[in-house]
Amino acid sequence: MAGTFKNNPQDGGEGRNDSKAALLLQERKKIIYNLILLGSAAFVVLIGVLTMAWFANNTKVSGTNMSITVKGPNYEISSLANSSDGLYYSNYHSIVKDPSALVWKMTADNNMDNYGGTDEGIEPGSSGTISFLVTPRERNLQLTFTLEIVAYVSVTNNGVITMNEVSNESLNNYLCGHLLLFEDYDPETEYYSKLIASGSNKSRSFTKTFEDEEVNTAVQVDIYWVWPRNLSNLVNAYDGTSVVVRPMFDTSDSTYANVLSNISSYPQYYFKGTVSDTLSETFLSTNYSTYGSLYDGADNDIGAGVEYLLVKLSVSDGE
Amino acid sequence: MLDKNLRMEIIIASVLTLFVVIVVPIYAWFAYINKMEAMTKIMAPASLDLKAGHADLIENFELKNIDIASIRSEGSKCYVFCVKTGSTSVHYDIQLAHTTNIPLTYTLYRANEVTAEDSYDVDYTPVNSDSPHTYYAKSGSALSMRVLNGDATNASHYGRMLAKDDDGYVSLTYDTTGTNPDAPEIYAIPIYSQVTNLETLNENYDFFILELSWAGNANDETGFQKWNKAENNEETDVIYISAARSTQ
Repeated sequence: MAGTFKNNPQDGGEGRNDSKAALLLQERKKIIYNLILLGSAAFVVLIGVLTMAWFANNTKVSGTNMSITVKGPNYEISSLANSSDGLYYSNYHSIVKDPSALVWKMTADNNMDNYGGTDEGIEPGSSGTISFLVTPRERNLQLTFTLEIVAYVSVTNNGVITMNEVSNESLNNYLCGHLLLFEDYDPETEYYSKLIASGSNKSRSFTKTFEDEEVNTAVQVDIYWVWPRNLSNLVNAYDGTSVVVRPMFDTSDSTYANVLSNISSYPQYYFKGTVSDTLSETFLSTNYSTYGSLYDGADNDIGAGVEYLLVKLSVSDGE
Repeated sequence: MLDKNLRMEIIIASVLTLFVVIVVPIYAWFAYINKMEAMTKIMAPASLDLKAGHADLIENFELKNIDIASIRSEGSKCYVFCVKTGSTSVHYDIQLAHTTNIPLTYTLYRANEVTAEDSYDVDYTPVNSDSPHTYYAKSGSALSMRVLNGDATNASHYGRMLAKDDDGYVSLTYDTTGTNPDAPEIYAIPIYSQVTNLETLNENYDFFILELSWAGNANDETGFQKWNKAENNEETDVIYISAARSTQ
């Protein structure tokens, strides 16, 4: 008997099942397809983000033979063992700290007069050592260490402390010439050597190459800081009667020449007020009473106008 | 509308992607620390103060009761003052600048406070008052002062050292050029003498004794008579005491 049925028996009982199955298959295909799409999108984002993150952190990304390799960190820096945050961290440093920097921690014999006691601080005549550890992860690594000093004055209102950066150009200049940093110090002769000189941009840097066998070991890097009390500590003006202090360097060493050169290139870092055009060692020694007072005048201004110093170290690979 | 399963899968995939996106950047920054900072403080500069004995205000410093005859016979008269630096790391210079009308010599000693029972060199009382008494004694030998502009050549003639009347210090102190230059009397030109690079022994009071004595050449009877007759009987001298941080 012929008749129209929805379920066409000529198709066999599987007809509807067939279409259902087909539909399900299509659905599944769609799902898989979408998942693959999402997965690859996620993968692309991942790669993109990885590349960006590494790029933003000064590490090499090299491409060879159509493959992308990302180099891991080739050094690590840290403070000395058993060290602690400086005296001025909790109320002052923490307000202005760079969130991407570590706190440079101090120990009892390795500090910047900011450890122990209730109130320390530096003044003309102060000196000391600050150190940190570098672990090179690559053989024969060469690193450049840059130091920047930022001056602050604190203001307290109703118990709330605000730190204001010192904007006075002269004071920032004086800090470059009055707070000196050296790579080396001989405790026997009490001579400093290897001046880390401030350049025209007021920052100072030095390079260090790590030995082959120092890889993966923590190497201590020392920085000797000193605030020379008087000009006679820097320039040889000794005459036995009015000047009885000798320089804090071996005057035949290249360090002494570097200091003299820094003084004559950047007199604004050392002296308060107007100075002569040529500031040779002989000239400064002959006119010591004038220039010694100009040096002391700058000391006094620093003491009166700057309250806190933030010493910032940053490390970069290569020169 | 999307099938429930599909929706669930999409949500899970998106959440996982987001998670990856957040986690990777944080880890990347953490692994690359290349900066360290430390903060220290700068001490305020110590100021130098000159005070009288007993750390009283300098107004109480008086060169009183100078009797030339007794100085000449007893040898000397002492007065105390103190320098307050505020910090034991400060080194300072002391300068005396004095005129030479009266043939006195000025010597500086460090001083210590002593009691009335000890042997003392100075019995100090504040100005216009008779109490309290504080006693000081010299400690150590005389500080060696460097005379900057003394003229030793005619010391025997005048009975004491006068200042050079033709050197750089004269042009620093007086106006020697121009249409109406100063013409100071030779006894009025100050002699400068300095002791330098003194250490701060006590950051609140470093006591010193200024000893006035009769100049050697004028100490004999004839010398005294000569001086007494050659000049006026009443003479005035001025002495300046200054202290400054050392530029040594």
